[in-house]
Amino acid sequence: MQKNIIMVVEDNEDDLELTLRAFAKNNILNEIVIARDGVEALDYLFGTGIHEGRDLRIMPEVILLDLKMPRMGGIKALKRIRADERTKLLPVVVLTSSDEEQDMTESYECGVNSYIRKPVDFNQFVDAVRQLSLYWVVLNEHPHAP
Amino acid sequence: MDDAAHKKMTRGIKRHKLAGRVVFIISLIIYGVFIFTGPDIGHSAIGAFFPVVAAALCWGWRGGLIAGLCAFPVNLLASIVTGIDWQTSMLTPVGIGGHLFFILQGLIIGWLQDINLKRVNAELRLKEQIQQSAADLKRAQSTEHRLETVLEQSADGIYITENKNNTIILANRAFLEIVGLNHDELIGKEPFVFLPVVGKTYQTTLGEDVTIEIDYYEKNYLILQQLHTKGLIRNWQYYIEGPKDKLVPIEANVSNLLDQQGQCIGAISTVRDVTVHRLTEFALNQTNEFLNNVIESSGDCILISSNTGLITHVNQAGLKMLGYTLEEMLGKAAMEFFSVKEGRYETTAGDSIWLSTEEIKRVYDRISVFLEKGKISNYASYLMHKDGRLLEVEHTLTLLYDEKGDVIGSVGITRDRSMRSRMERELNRQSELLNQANRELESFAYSVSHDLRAPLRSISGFSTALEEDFASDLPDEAQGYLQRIKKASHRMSQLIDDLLNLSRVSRYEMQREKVNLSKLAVKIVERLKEQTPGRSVACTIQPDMTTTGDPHLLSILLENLIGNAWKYTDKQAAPGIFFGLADDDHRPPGHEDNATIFCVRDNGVGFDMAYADKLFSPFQRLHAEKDFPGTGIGLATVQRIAHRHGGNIWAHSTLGKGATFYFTL
Repeated sequence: MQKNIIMVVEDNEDDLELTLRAFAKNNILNEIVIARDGVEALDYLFGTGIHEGRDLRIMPEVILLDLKMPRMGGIKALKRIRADERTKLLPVVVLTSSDEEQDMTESYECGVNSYIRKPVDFNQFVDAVRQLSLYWVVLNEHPHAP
Repeated sequence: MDDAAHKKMTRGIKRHKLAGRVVFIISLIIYGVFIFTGPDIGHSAIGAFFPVVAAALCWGWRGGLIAGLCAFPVNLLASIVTGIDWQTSMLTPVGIGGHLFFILQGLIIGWLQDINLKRVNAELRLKEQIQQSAADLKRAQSTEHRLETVLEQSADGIYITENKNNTIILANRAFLEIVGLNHDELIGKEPFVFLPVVGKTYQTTLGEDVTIEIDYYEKNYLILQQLHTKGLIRNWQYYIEGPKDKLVPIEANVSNLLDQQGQCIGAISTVRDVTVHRLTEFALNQTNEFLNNVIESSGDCILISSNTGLITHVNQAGLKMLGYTLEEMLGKAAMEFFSVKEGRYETTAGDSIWLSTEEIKRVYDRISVFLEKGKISNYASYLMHKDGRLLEVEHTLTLLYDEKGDVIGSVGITRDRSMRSRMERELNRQSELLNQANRELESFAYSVSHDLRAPLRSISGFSTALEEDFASDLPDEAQGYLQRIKKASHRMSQLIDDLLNLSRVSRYEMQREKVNLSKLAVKIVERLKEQTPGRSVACTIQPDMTTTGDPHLLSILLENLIGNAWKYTDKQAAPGIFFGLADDDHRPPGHEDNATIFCVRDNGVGFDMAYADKLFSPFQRLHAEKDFPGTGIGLATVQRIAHRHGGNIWAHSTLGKGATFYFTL
């Protein structure tokens, strides 16, 4: 049942478009699941709301999480992910505009696996996406939920 | 006759009389037995002999006569009771004769005894008189001796003048010492010989110089001349000439000597050297004056109260502080001025403040602590001004004790902190405003960091996408515009980053520790070499320069300064950078402290000194972006770091010949 899904939680259409473009430019052909905010992301992960009845054996390989989003921000979503038995081991990478110390500290305190600031320069952004996909999707080994 | 012999004699006479009485009583009993049991009157007549003799020996001739007379009727009564013929008894010549004989004998023996007693008593009286006069003589002798001793031993000088010629007839040792003369030099002289000479300047034993005026001399001369007519003179103060021409301040008391008839026969003067007394008095006055000056010159209110809490002294500052006159405060209970009630008050500094019950309780609690411990320093309290305004004050209270350790009162030193409190409140308000502004700045910086970058990313990202995907469809001009868009967004991104760094440097919580600046600089140069491998810059770094500061901030400071030097030497044929210590000559006016001056010097393009003041303001650039890229925020950041370390930064340059940046920490 391994589908190597990458989940992108992002509310900004432009950023989303650029992220997808970066995947494409890096020839990353994994299935991409998109959530527009924390609530949607949790619905997918726990099979609730619009994702009611989803097969929960399928979980993303890595979650790219923005911090500032409507309804539910990244930090709160991260806490919920880490608090649940089914999702607590999922790799989560914060991908955000902010390089504020407090955001970084809080993310790591909540158990994030990686913290990456989105570079303004698109070429750098493409490079960053390539590296993180290579690392988390290809190189990294981690236990899967049964 | 001495006391012992006299006592012995008196004791003999007493024994003699006692023996007589005993014999009299015993013989009376025997006689009684005889006359009522005896066979005839003859026995009883003989029996009366002993009591009569005994009575005569005891009580003299009167006793003998009465006993003899009593024997006759007793014998007569006995003969009636016993039934013996009373006529026989009465008429028997022997019987009557016997009785007359008793009477006569009692009389004679009694008379002899009387004569004997009189002689003994006369002798006794004479001896007592002799004894008495001997004791009187002895007493008189010892009194005179004692008087002499007292006179000699007295610490005060004493001299006696006689009436007729007013000459000194007696002076004690102490007086001779005061005037510095011996016995013979003084006796027989008039008492003004030790007065100082008119017109002469003397030094006194107090260390002052005194010139004797004629008036002064005459006044004292007249008194000394008429000592006997003045009666009693008390505490008369004048100078006498003592040893080594020094004037001795003295205090004299004079009284007349009278004979037994009450006639004045002379005068006795006691003289005390009051040098030490005067010096002590002087010192005490000085101390008092000093203390008074201290108390009065204080800007704080100084209030002294008795052990019953009544005000005994308030200084001028205190009166001014409270708005009362001295008369209004003296004798009042100090607590009257300390008492405050809950309520809203206008302070003397013009503020309006609320005094809560808890605050008042705190003040009273502190007063209790003071009474327990005896001292309390700088505690915040309140006083009422006469006009009803509140004074915010700071008390230092101390209990005063006497030598025995009993509380005799208290001293309160009170400082008006109304103005200071007002300023503190103002400062707190300002600091709260500042904190609020800082918080706003922080949230602004956060939102800049997040929200401004996102559209920038879109601009940059999509112009790249446009270029990548549609390059072939776009004319060269359009591609050129796309390049400009990308460049501008890149620059804006850098500006945002630098601005955020500047704001972070200001908000960053500093940790002070020992930092080796030389090592930091070496690392920075290594990094620069890695980043720009094509460049070769001669870097000289003075070793082991250390300071105390925040390693992270100091690293940013050096990164900027060395980075600038690196950048601005780009166009030099032989670029060079020096980082080391500068000597004091480079200190600008207004920074004459002893802080170590560090400097970063380069041989780059330099800058025009006319714009030197703009160097450290954000966004101020002295070079074109195309010549030397940069945002103009680096030096503003450096200055802020220097300021946060309590130091400073300044620069010197000659256009085309390089620049030197000096900084202290």
